[in-house]
Amino acid sequence: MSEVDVVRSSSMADEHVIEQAPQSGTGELDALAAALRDGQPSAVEGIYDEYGGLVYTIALRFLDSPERAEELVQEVFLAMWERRASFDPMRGTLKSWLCTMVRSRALDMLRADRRRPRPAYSLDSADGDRPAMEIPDPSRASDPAAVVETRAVLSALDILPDDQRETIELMYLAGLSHSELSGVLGIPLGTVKGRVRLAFAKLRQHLGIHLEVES
Amino acid sequence: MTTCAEWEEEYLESLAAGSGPSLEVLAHMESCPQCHLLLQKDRQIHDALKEGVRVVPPPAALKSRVLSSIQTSPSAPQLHVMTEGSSPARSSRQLHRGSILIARLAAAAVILLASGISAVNLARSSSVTNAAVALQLPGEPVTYGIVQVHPASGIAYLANASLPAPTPIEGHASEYELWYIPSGGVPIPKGALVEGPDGQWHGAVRYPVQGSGLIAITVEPAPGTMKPTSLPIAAARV
Ligand SMILES: [Zn+2]
Repeated sequence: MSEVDVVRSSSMADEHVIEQAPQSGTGELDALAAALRDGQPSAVEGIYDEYGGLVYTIALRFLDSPERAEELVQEVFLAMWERRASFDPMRGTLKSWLCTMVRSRALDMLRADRRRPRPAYSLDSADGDRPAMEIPDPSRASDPAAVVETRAVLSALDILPDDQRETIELMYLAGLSHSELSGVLGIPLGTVKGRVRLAFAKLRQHLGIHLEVES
Repeated sequence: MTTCAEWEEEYLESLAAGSGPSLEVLAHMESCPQCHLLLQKDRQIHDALKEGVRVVPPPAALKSRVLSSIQTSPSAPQLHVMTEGSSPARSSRQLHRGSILIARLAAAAVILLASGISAVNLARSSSVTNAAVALQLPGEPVTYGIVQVHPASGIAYLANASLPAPTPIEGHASEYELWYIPSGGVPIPKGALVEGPDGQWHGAVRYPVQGSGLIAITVEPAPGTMKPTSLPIAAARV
């Protein structure tokens, strides 16, 4: 499909100009993955620079504690290093592999805590001064209306059931495709599609007053 | 026949992939006023999520901690994959590496518990440490797992434990249960080991940073007990 085809096909075409894939430098990431598999410790620094924040944010979302999230990041990168020989680029990307590891270990830690009250998988600030997700400030934005809408959508994530919220957050935090999400979450592709659609339906319903589309 | 819900799923999938909707989806939107409006709203929500859901920058000091833990980690990842199916030569080499690792990290002798199993004594160092831990099921060959200890936060993580599915107890399901036993105290249940997709078992224990104790694994009736009912199959001193 070319951009020209899209323009001819719909009056909405200008909203649907083909987007560039968000990831640039995939060659560089491939090289980092290859260096990791070769056992070059320097690869870890490059991978941390690329994905350290992502792994930390996912850990923070699950564990609700910056200290535990930091421990988990250390654990995940150490596991990545020690299990480097088992990373198979044919089965998925380094990013998916890291997402799978951090999620699975965070769930282990929550299960280990199962006999005490479990912290909610929550959008709320983890410790009061370091928000688990950055809420943009409209007063400092070039397009305050868009920021207000973004804030409304982020707040609305709270109304989603945990499984839908986790799916949406992983999708946008990590920029994962539905098939990558299926691998990371360990659920069928059809379930991912259904979850995302249900989540959007709930968000649409909740945000009805904020998102009046001009006709 | 494709339903409106399926068109929407396809549309949302294309947004996630960053590829733009297919001609078929666009054609459906043109012919279906309901989808036309609905998918426009989906697009707005997608744009807001793409803008708003952002990675939180980790503390700057974390990077150096991550990199130094890599530098001090053993360079023998195959230590982790010790299964009954390993060739004898490979197993003995791995065992040897495991012994060196324990000796180096533990800074203490392997001790024998009353049950006759060996307990790994993990150094009270301030950095993350790894050690092999022996897993001895009654009547089975010894297998190994890796126990990784984070002394700063009091987390011990058992990974790559090569264990068979737990044997039913008197016809009922059982599980591998983790315990923390404070020095001079009673065992505190810490949840069950979980089997990963690779068939290896893993689990995490949080323990008090101050004080010392044992982490142990027993086989218990599912869904767990408040007191151990069998002898430990593994133990590590933290
Ligand atoms: Zn329709």
